[in-house]
Amino acid sequence: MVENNPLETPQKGDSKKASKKEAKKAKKTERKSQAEASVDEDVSVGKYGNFSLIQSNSQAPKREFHDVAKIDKALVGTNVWVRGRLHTARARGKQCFIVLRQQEFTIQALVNVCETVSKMMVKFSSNISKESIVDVEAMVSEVGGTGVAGCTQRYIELVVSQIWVVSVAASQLPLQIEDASRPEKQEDADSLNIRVNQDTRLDNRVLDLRTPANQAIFRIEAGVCRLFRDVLTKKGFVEIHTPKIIPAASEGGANVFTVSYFKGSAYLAQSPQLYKQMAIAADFGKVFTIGAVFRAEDSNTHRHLTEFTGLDLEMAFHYHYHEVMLTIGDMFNAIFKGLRDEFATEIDIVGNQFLVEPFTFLDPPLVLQYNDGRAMLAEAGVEIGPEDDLSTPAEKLLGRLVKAKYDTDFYILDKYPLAVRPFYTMPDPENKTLSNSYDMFMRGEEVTSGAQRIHDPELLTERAKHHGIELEKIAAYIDSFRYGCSPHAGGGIGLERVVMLYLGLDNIRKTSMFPRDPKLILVLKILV
Amino acid sequence: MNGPVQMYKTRQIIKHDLKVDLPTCMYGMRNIHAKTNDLGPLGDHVSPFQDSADISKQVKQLLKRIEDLSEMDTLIDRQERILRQLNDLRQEMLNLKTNLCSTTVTNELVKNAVSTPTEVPKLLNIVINVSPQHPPYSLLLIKKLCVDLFNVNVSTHLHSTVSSLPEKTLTFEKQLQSFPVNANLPTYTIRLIWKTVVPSCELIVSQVPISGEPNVLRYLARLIPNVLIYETADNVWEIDSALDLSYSLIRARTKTERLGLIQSLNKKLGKSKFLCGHSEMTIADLAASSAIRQVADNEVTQNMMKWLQRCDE
Repeated sequence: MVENNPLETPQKGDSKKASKKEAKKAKKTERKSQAEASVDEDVSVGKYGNFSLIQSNSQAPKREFHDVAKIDKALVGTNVWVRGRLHTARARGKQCFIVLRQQEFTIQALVNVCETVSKMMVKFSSNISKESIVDVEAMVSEVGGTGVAGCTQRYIELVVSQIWVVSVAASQLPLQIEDASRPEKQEDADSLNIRVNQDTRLDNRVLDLRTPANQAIFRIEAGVCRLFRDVLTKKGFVEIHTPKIIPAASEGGANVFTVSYFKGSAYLAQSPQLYKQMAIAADFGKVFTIGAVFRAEDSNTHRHLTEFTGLDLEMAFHYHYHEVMLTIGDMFNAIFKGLRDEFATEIDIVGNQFLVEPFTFLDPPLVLQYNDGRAMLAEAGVEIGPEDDLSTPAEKLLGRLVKAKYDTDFYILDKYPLAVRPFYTMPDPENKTLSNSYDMFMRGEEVTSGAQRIHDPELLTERAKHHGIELEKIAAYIDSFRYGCSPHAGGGIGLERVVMLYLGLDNIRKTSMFPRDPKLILVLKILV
Repeated sequence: MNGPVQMYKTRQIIKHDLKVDLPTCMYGMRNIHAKTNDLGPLGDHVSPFQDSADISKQVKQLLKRIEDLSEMDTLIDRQERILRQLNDLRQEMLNLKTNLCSTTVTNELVKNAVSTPTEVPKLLNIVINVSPQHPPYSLLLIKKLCVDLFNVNVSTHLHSTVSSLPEKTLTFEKQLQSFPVNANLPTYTIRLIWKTVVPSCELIVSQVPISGEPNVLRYLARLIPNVLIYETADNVWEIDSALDLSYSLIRARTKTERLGLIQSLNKKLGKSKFLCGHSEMTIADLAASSAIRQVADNEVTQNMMKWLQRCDE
């Protein structure tokens, strides 16, 4: 820049106004010159700016980074490097307050004009766009009093000495993370009532997933999956992988997706059941599988998806299918305990955004007979016929009744009427209208449906005829039992549903990372 | 022997129509077997039936006489009414039977309930929430008391808010399970849920829980009055005050407080076999012994020690 001449003298004899003007001008130029002077002597050069594109250079700096979650009072006084997202930046005079976010954890960073930090650096910091990824070198210092409101690391802050932008975010965001993570309190006139609705969230899923609650939800989901594997492996189960492209629609009932398969067509598996049972017939004893399950049902409810993750298990037993039912019940309890003990922080974070009561359960799990359940409903004024299935509202009511009486959100309902179960369900030996089948409920919604399967080909044929199923279509299924098969029972669990109900969320789309439902796929085609 | 002609003839061995010459040295007696002119319904039989025929004749005559009386009509009416009521009752029982789940276990329950209606109470679906620090020892005594009438199956559950059970509670659970089960008697299930509740335990019936072990015992005593003695006893007020003492004992915070309460219980025991001067165990004994075992096992007198042992027998 060209330096102005500050010595230009004002002309005398002008009006007062003119003299004032002159004075102002003089001041302005003076300030300008000062500013330029400071540019010249910017003490922070080389300590801030946009970092060159990281291409894994051979001269790349070797730095040790700290996790935000692990920065605590023990590190006060030490110099740390942190890479995080710039959550918010707010300049105030010679200071700039930045909140750095790493997954669900946040920490305040302070850029303060001092001997080593120039005003320019503060200005640069306050202008970094939200959601950019930055590298920060800073001194950890303690914060007294009530600490920093709104940060997970409350009692410490970072005093920044270097700040580099690693990846810039667009300055216009389709949704603000702050809005998306605002607690959903119903009646609170004081707090801001800006919400991000579900569609906007799903359209910009990448941004939405950055909210603390979503970070926690999918960590918990991973936890459920891991616990399922661990618990069953410990119980002697073998994990198997079943095909998802199947030649014929396996069971009746749910609709299947058709896919073109070279010259003909094939279907997407709506349940790994047939393959689980074949594994039992092949003497694997106890098997489980985790995999995608497809349902071509055009139902737009809060708890249906067209593609979801199924946790399925099947187990041979000796004399009574309760051996299997209680194994599944124990498995659920072990998962709940694991979540309670290992994911307390994550559950709290989800609870901060979506106010829900903690999940309760009994050990050993509560087992009720279907008819007991009917009696409880009848007492509450809802009559269900002895051979009728429970409707969704009845299920929810029963859930509330059980919760009131036993204070448990998880229970097993045993001995369903034979009439409402698929043809392969084993009938009860003592009562012709009942069957050896069970459903398991979380917060009054079904998460598992299971039963003892008929392993005798003659009885299976008879039951299939009774249900009016064409025998040719299921010939392969029946034939798999012709060479002897252990009595077995099992069940399938919807992963997304378990997570949704464990956390008490209201929509299954919240627990599916990229949910597929009859409508959503059209929107998501653009994104994914 | 005078059968059809195809049969062969046999020689007669005994002659029935022989003329017997009666001795004259004895005094004569009236022949009681001699035929009268009216044979009655059992006429062709001999001996005792003849008399009963006479009696029935008399009764018939008596009935004929009173048939015209109005009392008879009311009696008939009453009988008919009772029969009708019985029939209704029977129908109701049958309905209940079909309504109840038809698995064998409950069928057995219903059958037993029908055959011994006075002895078997309705104890279905009882849920008791218990604080793990205060195992309800009275349940063990109840199990013992009921052993001849029915099995009490106590199934225990651990609520998710409790992570683990203390040692004494685990022993209590083991004691509960160690009872022999009599397969011939009906079985009732009480669900016990270990959960942090104040004070010590609560029974869930409807919306409002019944809290405190003595109150739970009061409830059970009303369900099975023939097993647990409470309101049928002659000094109910004494039992009530003993129950309240047990309630306070569990809630007592300091040792002095506890000692005072135990002192009062000791007074109630006096020289008698059980509390409040009873010779049989009442629910006061159940509640007090359970409370003492829960909070003040070592703070009792010699006299009470002996009473505690009596309770356990």
